[in-house]
Amino acid sequence: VIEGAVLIKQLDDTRRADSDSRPGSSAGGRRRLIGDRGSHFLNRIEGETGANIAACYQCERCTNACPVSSYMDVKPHQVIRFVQLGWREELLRSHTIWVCLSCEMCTTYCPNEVAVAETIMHLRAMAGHSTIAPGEKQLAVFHRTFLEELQRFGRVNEVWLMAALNRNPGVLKEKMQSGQLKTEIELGLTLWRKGKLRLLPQRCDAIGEIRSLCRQR
Amino acid sequence: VKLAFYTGCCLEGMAGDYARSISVVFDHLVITLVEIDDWSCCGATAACGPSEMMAVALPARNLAAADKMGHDTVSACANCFNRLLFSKTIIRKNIFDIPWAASGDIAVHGMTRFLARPEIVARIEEHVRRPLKGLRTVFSSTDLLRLAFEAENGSAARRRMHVADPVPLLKTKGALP
Repeated sequence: VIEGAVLIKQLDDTRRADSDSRPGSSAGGRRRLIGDRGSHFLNRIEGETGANIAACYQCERCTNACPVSSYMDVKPHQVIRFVQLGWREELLRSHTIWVCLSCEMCTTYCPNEVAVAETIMHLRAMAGHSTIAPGEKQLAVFHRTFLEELQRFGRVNEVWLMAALNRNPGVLKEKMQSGQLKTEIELGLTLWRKGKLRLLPQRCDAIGEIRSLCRQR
Repeated sequence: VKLAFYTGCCLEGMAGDYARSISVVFDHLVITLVEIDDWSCCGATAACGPSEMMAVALPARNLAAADKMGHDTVSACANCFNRLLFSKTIIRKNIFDIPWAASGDIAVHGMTRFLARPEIVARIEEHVRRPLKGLRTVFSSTDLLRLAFEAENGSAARRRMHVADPVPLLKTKGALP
């Protein structure tokens, strides 16, 4: 019995440590129970995305369906909870909004038809317009580069995209330091041997229309 | 049968083998795939970042071209399909002023789901040369488990999750017992 009690205490301690390191809790170990804006943030996101966020009852199906949830700090079901609580800053600072693939598996699986993916995409747009630095700098750079490439040819060529990505300041250096560059070169060589790389980009003739659209967004 | 085929950037690049296999399969099924005239990139995940307007307008250009061609659209790439369907849904809501004349009336199909239709499965059955008996299959979830939600069918369609849809397709090929 005593051993059991010790075990329970240990579990309790780890759980407390967990909850302290959660993005929603403040540094002093005091949990923030509600966002500073009441339901203002919830109403705003619901209004702008048309997602029925208040309907979420935290069944976590979205998180279980998500193929990349292991890379997220705030899991999809928590994103919805945070919106309900009005924790705007924690959301905009999170890695989740940049990691999301927009494959919409979360939306597909939701029993209450909460548009989880659309909400995350909306939060990404909000983060892009805010002064908060993106949680995943490399991914933010990648998305920007992708759009630049799109405006160059109207279609995106993988080789040109990677070349343009590596030309961004700091990207190549960071990749060299983390050893990612070596892995990428090896992958590239494998693809080249299999004849999967197309060096010449395909163009879309209506590139002018696309560029003017991108300018006026 | 004629379909407007949205190729997508991947099928032109690294997924070229996928594109070739699609053209062979559809030749056998006697379904003509017509590439959408001068298609452009759907914007993928990146276009959702700066503004929702971009995420709607970029695929809308291709939907407008498909409108002009007058065929249903089919996309082989899971993400392109998502973006086209999303764009179509929003176009029908008439929120954004889109520079291209897309009505949003054209049907958008995902390749896998299209091939899993009973009439297409029947056609495939006629052409099976080597059954895939004994082959274990792994589901690529994002593509296969998509929900067929169409704006016009509304909530009822959203609830009907077509998880079992690709199963008859695999059965035909003898991949499932």
